[in-house]
Parts: sequence; structure tokens; C-alpha cells
Amino acid sequence: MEFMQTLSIRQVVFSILFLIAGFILAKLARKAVEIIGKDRLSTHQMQLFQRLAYYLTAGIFTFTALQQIGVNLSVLLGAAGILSVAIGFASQTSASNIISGLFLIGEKPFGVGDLIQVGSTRGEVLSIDWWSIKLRTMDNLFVRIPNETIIKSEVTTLTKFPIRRFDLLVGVAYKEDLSKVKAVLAQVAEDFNLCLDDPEPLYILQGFGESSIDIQFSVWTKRENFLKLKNGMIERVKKAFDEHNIEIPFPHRTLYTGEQTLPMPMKLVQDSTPESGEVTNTSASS
Amino acid sequence: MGNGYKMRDTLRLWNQDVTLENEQACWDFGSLFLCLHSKTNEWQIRYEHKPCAIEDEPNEVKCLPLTNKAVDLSSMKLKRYISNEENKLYFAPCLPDRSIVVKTIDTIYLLPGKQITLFVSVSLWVRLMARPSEQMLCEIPIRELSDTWFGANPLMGEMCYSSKTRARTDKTALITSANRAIIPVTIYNKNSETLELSKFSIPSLTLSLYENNVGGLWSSRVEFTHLKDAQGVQLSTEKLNEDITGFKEWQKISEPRQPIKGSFINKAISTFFTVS
Repeated sequence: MEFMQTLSIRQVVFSILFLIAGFILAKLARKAVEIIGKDRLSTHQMQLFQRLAYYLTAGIFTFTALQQIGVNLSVLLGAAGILSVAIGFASQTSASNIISGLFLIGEKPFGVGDLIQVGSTRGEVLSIDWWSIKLRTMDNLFVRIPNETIIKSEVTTLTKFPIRRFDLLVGVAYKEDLSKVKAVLAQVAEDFNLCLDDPEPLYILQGFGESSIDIQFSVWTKRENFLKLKNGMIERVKKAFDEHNIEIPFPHRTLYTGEQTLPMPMKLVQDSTPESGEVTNTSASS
Repeated sequence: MGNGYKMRDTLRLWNQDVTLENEQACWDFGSLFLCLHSKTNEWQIRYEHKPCAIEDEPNEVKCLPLTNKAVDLSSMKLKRYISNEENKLYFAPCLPDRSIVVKTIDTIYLLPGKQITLFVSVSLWVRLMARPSEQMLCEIPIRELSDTWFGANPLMGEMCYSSKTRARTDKTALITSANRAIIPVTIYNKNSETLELSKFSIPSLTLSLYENNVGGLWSSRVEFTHLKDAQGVQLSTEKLNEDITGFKEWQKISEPRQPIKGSFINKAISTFFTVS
């Protein structure tokens, strides 16, 4: 390296000073974006612009520092171009993640702070980066999901809309008066202040189940109250059914031998010893 | 208990000083039970909501004696506030912190060119304020109102409280209650179509509270004008007058949480009324 031999201490000092100044200014630029964008940008946009300001400022000063010590940047950029092709082939996954990240930024299916579910993973979005998104799960684990996976998978944003619906599935015995059941459920919803009056609760008879008439009772609530509502509804519906003697049946099994009304014939074998050999015939109703 | 709170006039509960020196006092609002306990440099506020049908709601607030054995503090929610001020605070009334969606028990149809003034009664919130700093300790709703969504669909709209009303039009039939405020709502239908009043939203955050000479609480007047040739509504809030209320003297006791900027605002009709 010929230029290294002609370097003066002054050039090296200036170069180092440029580097230090660059990183200080980059931090200031990041802070400035935070102050300017406080009420204008979302958390995700803020992170993006802060990083852009930081790396742009630091990059400009790094290049200037390199120029100070006589590095030929055109050669460096040319080499970087060739290198990037080589790296590109070697890092298709990373490139795919970056492009997927750009799509995510453009499409905005969720933002920082949203609660999302990807496959079986559910968590709060901590950051959306170039390669991956970072989640904090409900049990406080850190999960990194590559952007490419997000683009290819079904993602559910649980905090997109301000209200949510809870579907309570409950079965009642065949003997019950369904109009009474409907009235009791409606009263439970009306008395529970977390249930929204509007949209109105939905009552759907799902059909004749194996042991019960299956009902779907859907109520709406504020997103933040979803868990409280879910617990509260189950508790209150159980209590109300108990108070009104409405049976929530256990699964029933009826053994049927083909004869419509006759009781099922049963054979009782008394003992397995060959001497006894006594057999009693009896019958029992099914 | 100190002399600040006057037991004999339970309608005049609001803005009266309550002085307690290492003592406890409880108030029964009907659907809210509230206890204050003054300790050295500390206020302990206990409260619980209890089921109480609107028709059974008392019009006065009962102050229970300290020796009342029916008072079970253990089941109540507790809030502790550290303060090195005098042991003095007061109850300030305030309107709910969200808009109120009012459902009329019977649907009213307002014909084109007509107007109506409805008197809507809403449950108040208690705001506990420390003296002399005027710092707010907390706000507690006297009745836990149901949440509701008001909007064209589950994507667009706002979270509100829900309240049913008989939508009285006769002011002489109104009952003065310490727990409730009357909101006079005047609706002008300047549109060529009949306006259905089965459910509408009252922007309670924009309203002030006033007290009349008999201790009745009223909010400032809400005026909706269904505009001519447009699916829009003009909203303005007006001061109370004798014609509307039947009372001459009014004292403002609470400022609006979010006053309207300017004299009125124009919104889409779906912002305040259910359009079928």
C-alpha cells in the first residue's frame, strides 16, 4: 500500500477526528429525528428514520475520513460492486428477507406494539428490521421471525381493530326450553358491563349435538378487555344456568341393540371356573 | 368528622369540604359505596359498585355513621394517596370520560322542519380533589355504565358508554338527584327527510356542568342541527337558559374535558345518529 507510506500524522489525526465527530453527529441526528417525529411518526416509522439518519450520517463521515487518509473511494466502490454480486449469490435468503422487509414496511399489516400470531407463536411486535421481526411472547420469550416467513405465512394481527368478538360455545340439554336459554344468555350479556350493547350479542343455534343442543353466543368487547370478558362470561353463564336450572349436559352414550322399545338383553356369567358352569339370563334397560 | 360536610342537605354534597382527622366516613350513592379514611399524610379511598336498578336509585346520597357494622371494607377496592396537606378534600361532580350513546325506550321520529328538546338524565362520576392544592386524587363512576360501540361498522366508530332514556320532553317531570345530571338536547331537523331518534351519541366530553339553586345538576345544552340538503349535522354547546330549564340562577361547577374549538362543528350524521 503505497499511500500508507505517504500518510502524515496530521492526516491520520484528522481522519480519526472525522470518525469520532461522525459518530457523535449520527447519535445527535438520531435524537433529532426522535424529537421532530415525536407526534408525527408511528413507533415503526420512528425506528426506521432514526436508523436511516444514524447510518447516513455515520457513513458520510466514514467516507470523508477514508478520503482524508487517501483511500481511493472509486476503487473501493467498484470492489464493493463486484463483491456485492458475489455476496448476492451467496446470500439469497438474506436478500429475500430484505425484500420481504420492504414489502412489510409498505403493506403495514402490523406495527411495533401490535399483538400478532404467526403459526403457533403469539407475541407483541418489538421491532420490524431489515431481516426479521422481533416478538415478545406472552410468557416473555424473545422470538425472531425472518421477514420471508412472515410474507409466506398467515399472520393474524390481534390488535388491528378497537373491538373484538368472543364466541362462547355452550351446550344445553335436549329437555331445555330454548327461548328461556336465549333470554338467560341475553340477560347475562346485558348485566355484564364489559359486553358491548352494540354490536348486539349474536345467538346462533349450531345444531343437534351428540349430547346437547349446541349454541354459539357471541359478544363484543373492547380489545383490551377480551380476556376479562372471556373469563367473566364463562363464569356468569355457568352461574346463571345453575340459578335457572338449565342443564349443561355431559356427553351421553346410549347403547342401542336394534329393537326399538325392548330393553337390552344381558347375559351375566357368574364365574369362570369350569365346575360352576352356572349361567344366569337377565335383562336391563339401555 | 369535621364540620365541612353538612349532613342535613344531602343534595348539596358537591364541592363541600370534607375534613377528616384520622377518621373514616362512608357514602352510599345507591350503585356506589365509597369510604374515605384519613391517616397521617395519607388518604385511603375504598369503593365498590353494587347492583342497583335505575328505578331503585336514591336521589340523595347517604352518609353512613362510622359505627355501621354493615360496612365491610375488606371486599372493596382500595386506593391509597400520599399527601402531606391538610386532611381536607371535596367531591366534584363530572360527566363520563367518553361520549354517551343514548337509546330511547320508544323511537321518536322528527319530521322535516321541526325541532325537539329532550331531557336526558345521565349518571355522574365523583372526582375527589384535595384541598388546598386542588390536585385530583381519582375519578370514580357512580354507576358502571355498559360499554358500547357507536359507528357504521366494527371498523369505524368510537367507544362510548351506553345509557337508556325515556327522552322526556316535559321539564316539570324531571327529578332532582345528587347522582345524576340532566343534559338538555335540542335537535333541529332542517333536512327534507324525517330523522329517526332511536339512538344517538351525546358528546359529553364537550359539556360543562352547572348547579341550580335547589342543588340540581345540569350540563350545558347540546344542539344538533340536521343540515338542509346534506347528510351532515352541526353540533354546538350552549349555555343554559330559563326557557329551557325553568331555573334562573346557575353556577358553573365543572369545565368540559374537551371543549369544542369554535362555536360549532360539522360532522357526518352517522357521527351522532344511527342512520337506517
